Amino acid sequence: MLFIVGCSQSPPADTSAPLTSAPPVVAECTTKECFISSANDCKDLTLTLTEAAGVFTYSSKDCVFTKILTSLNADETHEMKALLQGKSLTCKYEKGKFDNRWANSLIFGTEYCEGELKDILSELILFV
Amino acid sequence: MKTIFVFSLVFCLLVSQTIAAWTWDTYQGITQWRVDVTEDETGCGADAPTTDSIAVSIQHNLEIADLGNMGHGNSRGAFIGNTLSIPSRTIPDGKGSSKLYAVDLAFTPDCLSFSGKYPWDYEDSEYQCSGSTTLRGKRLDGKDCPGVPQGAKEEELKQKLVDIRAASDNTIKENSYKEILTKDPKNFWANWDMAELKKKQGSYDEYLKYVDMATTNENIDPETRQELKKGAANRLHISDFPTATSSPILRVEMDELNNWNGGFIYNVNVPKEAANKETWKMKIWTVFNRYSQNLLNDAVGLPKE
Repeated sequence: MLFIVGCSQSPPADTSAPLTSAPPVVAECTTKECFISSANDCKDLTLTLTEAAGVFTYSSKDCVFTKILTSLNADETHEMKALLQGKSLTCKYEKGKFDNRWANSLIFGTEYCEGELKDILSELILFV
Repeated sequence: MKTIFVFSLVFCLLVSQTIAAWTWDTYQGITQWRVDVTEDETGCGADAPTTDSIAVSIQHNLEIADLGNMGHGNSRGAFIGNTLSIPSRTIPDGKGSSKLYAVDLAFTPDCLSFSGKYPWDYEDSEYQCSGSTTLRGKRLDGKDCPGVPQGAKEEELKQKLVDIRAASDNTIKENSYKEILTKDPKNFWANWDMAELKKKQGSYDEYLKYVDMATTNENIDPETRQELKKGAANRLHISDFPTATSSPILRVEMDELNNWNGGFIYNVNVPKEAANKETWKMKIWTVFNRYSQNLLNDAVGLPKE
């Protein structure tokens, strides 16, 4: 108990303090607009959002965008969940050239991205 | 893939043999013709042969064919293969009668024309002379042999595509596709292959033009799309075709497609279209899916290039 209390009473780390070996800047975002803006600057960040299709995790690291379909809408069939859940795509870009469609669209803008998520979603156009 | 190629080749060869074997003596029905009838009565005092053009129907009942009046009254003949043999007969003619000699009318294998010539002798109480009649018929009611199943025609075309795709020279390929498209501008496969050729050449405007023509072909598109769906379902390991109604993620995709106002997909400037959503979606899939050419080939059993 003493140990726990002791820990809980420790002052929070000062994240603004300069460090001798600087880690990458991790931006904090809770909206797509913020994520797109930060990712456009090639900041490292991650954002998880629940959307109509399911839960998506968007991340940006070293000017590489990754979108993971973490889980599907509960109304999807078991087969669709097995097909899509956990699938991802990645898109490389240059600083200032982030395509905001990557975060706003399932299909458009992803022509030059790679990953199973892209391939499956492009196949599913036939069923729309 | 070699197996599919060999199977397709053998299948197509078998089908093309079946098509080559189609003959008029297997057909029941009526065909319509425009016949140029040239009468050479110079032996009877005429200055020169004369030609009349007559519309005639032929009633086919397997080997038996009843021909309408081509100037000498109705007649009946018998087909053996594509040759219609009309026996000799004598008909009343003016003050006398004419003996028409037997004639073999040769019908072309494409079922679009026939020709033949027969001599005749005229005779009355005071006069005798001889001449000849030449018949040249052109089909009016079709561009193919009647009764050949649509599927067989498509398979024949597939065989042509196999041959064209085997060509190594792109100019030969392009000319061959153009030849098909001259006769049938909306031909799905020729447009499809031409589109792929143009994409490889980097002519994206032309690519889209041919994709447009292929995907708006109403005859083949629904069937092909169904085959594509089956293929996609197999690859994705889904037993039921999902729909925008049953699947939230497809609903999102559908909304995206419906709300899209056109633009570039890869290097292709795809315009917004709302008239036919099915062909529009097919077009988007074709341009967007890098593997669409090979997937479609697989769906219908054509070899990849």
